[in-house]
Amino acid sequence: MIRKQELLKLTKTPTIPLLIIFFAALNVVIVMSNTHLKKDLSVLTNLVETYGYEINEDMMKQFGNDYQEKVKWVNKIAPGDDKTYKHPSELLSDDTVRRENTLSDSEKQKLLKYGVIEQYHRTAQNIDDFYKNIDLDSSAESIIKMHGFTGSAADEVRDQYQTLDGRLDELIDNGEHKNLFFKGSLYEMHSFLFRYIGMALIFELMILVVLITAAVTNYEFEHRTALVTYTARRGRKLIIDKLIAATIANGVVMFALIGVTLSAFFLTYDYSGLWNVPISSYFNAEMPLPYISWWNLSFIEYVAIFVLLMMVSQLLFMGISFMLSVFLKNTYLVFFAFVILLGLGILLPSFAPMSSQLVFWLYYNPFAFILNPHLWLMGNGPFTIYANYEIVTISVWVFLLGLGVSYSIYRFHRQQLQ
Amino acid sequence: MRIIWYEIRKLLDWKIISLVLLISVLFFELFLSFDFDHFPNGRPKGDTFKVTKQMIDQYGTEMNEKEFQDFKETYQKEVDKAGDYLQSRDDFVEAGVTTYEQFKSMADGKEKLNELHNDIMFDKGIDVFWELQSRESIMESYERKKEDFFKDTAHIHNSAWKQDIVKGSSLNAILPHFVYENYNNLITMFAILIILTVMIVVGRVFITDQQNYALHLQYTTHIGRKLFKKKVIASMLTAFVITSVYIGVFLLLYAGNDPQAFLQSSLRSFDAHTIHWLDMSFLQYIYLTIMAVYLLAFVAAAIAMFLSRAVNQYISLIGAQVPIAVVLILLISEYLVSNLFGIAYPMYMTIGTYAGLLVLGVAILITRWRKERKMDIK
Repeated sequence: MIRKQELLKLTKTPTIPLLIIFFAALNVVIVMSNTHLKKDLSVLTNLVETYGYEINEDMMKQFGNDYQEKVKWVNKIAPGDDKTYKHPSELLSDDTVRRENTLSDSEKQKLLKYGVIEQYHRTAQNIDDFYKNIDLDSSAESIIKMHGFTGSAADEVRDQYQTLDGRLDELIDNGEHKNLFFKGSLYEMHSFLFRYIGMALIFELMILVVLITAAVTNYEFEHRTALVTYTARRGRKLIIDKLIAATIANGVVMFALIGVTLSAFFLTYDYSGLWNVPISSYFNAEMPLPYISWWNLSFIEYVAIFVLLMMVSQLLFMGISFMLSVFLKNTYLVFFAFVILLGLGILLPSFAPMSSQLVFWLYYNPFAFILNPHLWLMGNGPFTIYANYEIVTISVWVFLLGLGVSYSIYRFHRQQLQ
Repeated sequence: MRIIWYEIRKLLDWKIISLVLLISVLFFELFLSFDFDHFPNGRPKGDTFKVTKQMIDQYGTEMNEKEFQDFKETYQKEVDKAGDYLQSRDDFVEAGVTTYEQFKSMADGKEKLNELHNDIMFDKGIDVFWELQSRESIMESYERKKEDFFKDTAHIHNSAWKQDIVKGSSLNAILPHFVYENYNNLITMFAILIILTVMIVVGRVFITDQQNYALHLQYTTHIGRKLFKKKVIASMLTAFVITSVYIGVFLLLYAGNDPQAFLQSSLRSFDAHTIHWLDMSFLQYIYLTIMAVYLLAFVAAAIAMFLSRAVNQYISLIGAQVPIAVVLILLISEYLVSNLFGIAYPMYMTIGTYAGLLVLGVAILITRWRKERKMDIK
C-alpha cells in the first residue's frame, strides 16, 4: 500500500514518462540510421536460409558450385567477349563497362548482390588460413606499444594474451569462428548494436535511474512533509519502502526502454536464422583481431547477457544515487554530484602510471565498466581483457554498495531531519 | 539594482559554483585537454605548422604564383640539405643512398634499408626530412587547390559563386586545415560546456524560491511581481558573466596553441577541408563563433528560466532540461557552432535556427511575464 503510494508520487509530474518517450524516439532514430544497409544484409540472411550458417566442407562445396554459376552469369551479361571475369567484383570495378553503361538496372542490382556474395564466399574460404596466422604475441606487443605500457603492466598484458591464446585454440577446436554472420568489416553491426545503441541505452537509463531514485528518496524533504512522515509510527522505516519503490520503478523503466529499443532494432534488421551463430564468428570481426569471447556464446545468449549486465550496472547506479540522496537530500544536487562521480570514475584509470598493474585495477569501477559495452565478455579490450572482469566488477560493487546502502539506511534512522 | 545584485549572488551560491567548477574540470579533462596538450599533434603536423608560419613571415597571408615558385626553390635547397646530410653518413653512403630521391624510395620491402630509413625518421627524427614531407604536401595541395575546391563543393549547384571564389585570391591563403579543425573542436566543446553550465546555474533562479515558499512573500511586497523582470535581468547577467569567464579562459588557453600567425588568413585556404559560405579570415571566424556562443548562452538561459518557473519539482526541472540539452548539443556539434556557416548545411538553415531560437527565447519569457502578472499565487 505504502509502496504503491510511493510509486504514485512519481506520476504526479509527467517528467519520467515524457523522458522515456523522448529517449525511445531518439533510440529509434539511431536504429534507423543504418537502414541503408538492409538490402546488403538481406543477402546474408538469404545465404543462411539456403546453406545454413555452419561452414563445413559440404556447405562450402555447394556454396562454391552455386557461386560458379553466378560467375557464369556474370560473364554472360558482360559486354565484351574477349574478357572473362573470375569474380563479380572484377566486372563491377571495370571502368570501361561502367562508362559504356550497357547493363540494365536489374542486371546491375543483381551484379551488386553477387558482389556481396563474393565477399562472403571469399572470406569463408580464407578463414582457416587467417586463424592459423593470428599471432596474439605480436598483438600484445603492438597494444603495449600503442598504449605505452611498461614494466609489470606490460608483462600483465603479455600474460593475458597468453591466456587468451589458450581460449583461441579452444575456439578454433569448437569451430566457433566458422559460421556465417553479417560481415563486420563491412557493416559493423556488432558495434552498432552493442556499442552505439548500447551506450545510448546505458546513458539514458542512467539519467532516468538517478532521477527516479533521487526523486523518490528526497520526496518528503522537497515537499516539506518530512517532519510529518518521518515522525509517524512507520516513520523512518519508510526509507526502505522508498528504496523498494525506486527499484520497482527503475525496473519498469529499464524494461520499457530496452524493450522498445531492441524491438525496433530487431524489427528493422532481420536476424532470422542467425540467433544461434556464435558471437566469435570470424564474420563478426571488425578490427584486424576478430572478437574472441571468453565463453562459447551464441548471438542470442550474448544479447541476453548484455541486457542483464546493462540492468545490473543500472542497479549499481541506483545504489550510488540512493546513498547520495540520503546525504544530500536534494535531487538537483544528487544529479550533479552523480555526474561528478561519473566523470571521476571515467578519468580514474588515467591517473595510474602505465608501468604498474594499478591501471588495470582502476578499471574495476562501475563507470569505467560501461564505457566499452561491445567488449563485454570479450578478450579484446587491453584494459578489461580478464575473463572474469565483468563478474568481478559487478560482484565487488554489489557488495560494496550493499554495505554503503545499509550504512546510509542506518544513518538515516539517526540523522537530523532539518 | 540592489535586488538584481542579490539575485545574482543567490544564483552564484558558493555550493553551486564549486559544483559547476568541478564538473567543468572533469569536462575539460575528458573532452578538451587533448586539443590543448597535443597541438600540433605529431609529425609531420608539427613540421607543417612550423613551415607554414615561416611562409606567412615571408609571403604574407597569401601565397601567389610567383611566391609559389620561390617556395619550390626553397624546397630544392632543402632537398640539397637532406642530400648533404645523407652523404655525411657512412651507413647511407655504404647502402648507396646519397640523394633525397633515393631516400624516399629506399624503404620498400628491404629490411636493412627500412631500418636506416626509420633511424632518420623516427629514432633520430631529423627535422629536414620531416619538413620536406610537409613541404611536399603543401605543394601538392597548392597545385590541386582548384580541383579540391570543386570536389568539396560538388553538391552545390551555383557555378557563379564557385567561379567568383576560384578567380579571387582567397584560395591562396595559408592556413593548415588542422589549425582550423583544432579551433573548431575546442570552440564546439567549450560551447557545450558553457550551455550546460548556464543551464545548471540559471535553472535554479525560480525553483529555489518556490521550494522555500519564498515566492509568496516576494510577490506580496511592494516590488511584487515585477521581481520576475528583475530575475530575468539577473539571470541574463549571470549567463553573460559565466560565458565571458569561460570564453576568457578559453582564449587564454588557446593563445598557448600559438595561432597568432594565422589569424589574418582566409578560411578558404588551399589546404581547407571545410568550405564556408562566407569569405572570412580566421580571426573573423573566431569573433563570429564567440558571438554565436553568447547568443546560445542567452537562449539557454531563457529556456532554463522559463522551465525554472514553469515546473515545481527538481525532478521535472532536470527532466525537462535533459532533452533540451541533448537537442542543443546535437545542433551545436552539427552546425550551430561547429563549422559555423559551413557548406554542409545551407546558410538559411543556420540563420533560421538562430532566429528561431531567439524568437523562442524571447517569446517564452514574454508569455510567462503576461501570465505572471495576473496569475493566482497558490
